[in-house]
Amino acid sequence: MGERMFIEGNIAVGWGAASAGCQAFFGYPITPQNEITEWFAREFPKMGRIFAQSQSELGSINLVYGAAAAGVRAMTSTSGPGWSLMQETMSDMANAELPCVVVDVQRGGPGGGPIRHAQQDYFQCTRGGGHGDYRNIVLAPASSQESCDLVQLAFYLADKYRNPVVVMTDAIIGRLRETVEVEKIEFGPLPDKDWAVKGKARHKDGKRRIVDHSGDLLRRYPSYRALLQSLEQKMKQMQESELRYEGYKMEDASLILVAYGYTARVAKEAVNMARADGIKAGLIRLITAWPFPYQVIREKACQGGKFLVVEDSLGQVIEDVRFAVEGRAEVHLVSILDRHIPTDGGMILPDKVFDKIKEIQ
Amino acid sequence: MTQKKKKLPRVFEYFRDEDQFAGGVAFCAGCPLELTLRILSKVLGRETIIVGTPSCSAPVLYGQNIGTWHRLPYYSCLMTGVASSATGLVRYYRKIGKDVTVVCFTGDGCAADVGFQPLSGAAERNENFIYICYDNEGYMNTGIQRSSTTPFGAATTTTPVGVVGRGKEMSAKNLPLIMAMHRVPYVATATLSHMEDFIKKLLKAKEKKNEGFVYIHVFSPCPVGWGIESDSAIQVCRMAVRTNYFPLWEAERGRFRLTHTVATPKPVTEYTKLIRKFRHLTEEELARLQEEVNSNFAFLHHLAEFETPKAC
Repeated sequence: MGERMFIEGNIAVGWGAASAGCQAFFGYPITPQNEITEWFAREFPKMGRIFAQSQSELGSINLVYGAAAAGVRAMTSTSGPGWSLMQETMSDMANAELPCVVVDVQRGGPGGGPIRHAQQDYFQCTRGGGHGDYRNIVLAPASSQESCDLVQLAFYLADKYRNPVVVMTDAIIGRLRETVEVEKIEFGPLPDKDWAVKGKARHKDGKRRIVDHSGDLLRRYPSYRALLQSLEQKMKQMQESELRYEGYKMEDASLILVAYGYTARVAKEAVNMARADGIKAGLIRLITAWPFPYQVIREKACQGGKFLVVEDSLGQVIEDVRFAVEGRAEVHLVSILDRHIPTDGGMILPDKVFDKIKEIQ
Repeated sequence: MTQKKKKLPRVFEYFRDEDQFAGGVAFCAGCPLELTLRILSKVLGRETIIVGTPSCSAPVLYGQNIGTWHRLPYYSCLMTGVASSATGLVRYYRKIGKDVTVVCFTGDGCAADVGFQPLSGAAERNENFIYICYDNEGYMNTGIQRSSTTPFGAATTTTPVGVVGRGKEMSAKNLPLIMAMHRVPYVATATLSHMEDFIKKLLKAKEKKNEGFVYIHVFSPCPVGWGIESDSAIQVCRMAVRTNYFPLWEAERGRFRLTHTVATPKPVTEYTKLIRKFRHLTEEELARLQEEVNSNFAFLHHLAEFETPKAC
């Protein structure tokens, strides 16, 4: 049994990282992720680990790049605008094949936008985000407990694939206070980080290591094509082995809701309301936003199910669902426009989703 | 018969325009930002465009919910590019031949950290606008995190005081000196306790912006973040000047001049005892802070060879 705490999702991220053996955190203030940075500033020096506040998000992600090259588990956290700033380095790290964890506590956009919750970074997170051909595994927690657990998983997956891993939460999950059981999770053994730049003496072969970000310099791969093939192989393997989702009342469901993050909790409540009303509704909650459960959705579409995507944006997940069903089924949307009030404090409420379920079933 | 001119109070002689701000704005109680903005718009006049970023000043300049608290044009842009965006604006107005004063109004986090690159770039290109940095020594809007202008020893949420932490370990970045080293037409420091000095500097800035880049660094205590009484912001400003913690000076193309000298500077403890963020400092730490203040002032004094007024 781990220690039980009543904490926010943002704080749970911190405890998760500490349990996973994260040695360095680099951050920069941006609402709504400030609690993460402040937690690390408070707790990491006590644990004898590294915390530094950089001069910008560009600074923090590049500090992570440096620490990752040294083979250390390092992470940063940010929100919308800062996430955009980090993309050049994220793309670079994918090329250099360095592991890191970045937490994106989503806020409204586009641009500066409001500082409150939204789910508008889905495309940017799941499509890589920066330039070039790469993808990151995107984990989407829907509770404080999951924030803690998925951050630990993120570190494991980052090391396993030598690729950045994104934990995509939102301002509601980040600021929601819940009971969390902090426990170190074992995922199994990982290969030694022999590629890390640690100094010749610390490598068994006594040779230097080079971390580089261009495939045709013949250091890591014989050609540019070989680099791309390797990246493609890696992405395929991630898609095959790392797909995670939660099915809720899916066995006999004919109307399937698709959601992640805070809207998944809203959708779950709506499913319960629908079931009480005799409507056979179910929910697919994305735990990995990428890899996306295309096959599961396709099978359900072939069986004649209808789909309702619930997301706090103008419609981003819905494009993946449409891609999965390939015109075989109806796909509907409850979007950011269906919030209960028009200000940035508005939320998608279960009643609204239930109304939509009744309308389309 | 010679008509006797009615003598106005000294400070108000400088006001060129009516108040552009409404009464009662959305700042925290006792925040000196309100007075800074009010004076700024009165002195610089109605032909002023304020360029701002997400910051403490945003709620008032940018507006909240249904309206703003002022009548000036406002351009809200990114923290990473405020000086560059202002450049675009200025270049356009100069092209069409309209004389407007473009003022970037940002906090120290933007000026010294995330927006420093474009700021330095704009200064080097000598763009014709005024950049005003209100220095509250931290990211106050996001919850009192440290910035690179946070002084040694100050407690913030990312330099906490506790089992291990003792506040910020490093010294503050001296941003106005860095800007003066760009040898731009005008760089000055100002604060609200010395209002006449501030207004003179604003007037000079309005003139000098026709020659090129102008930078003004305004010392601006934060009642919430620093832990000071909400009626004591001006008092803290005055004590910062009297202890030489924040000396008032100006530099024209690298020629420094102290605009206010203190005959017998008070020890820095007179300043730190007003502020809760320094409460935990030990005597050794205070001695280090005093040493920093002394060496900074000695350096500045060395730079300001000419025209130093008599001590007052």
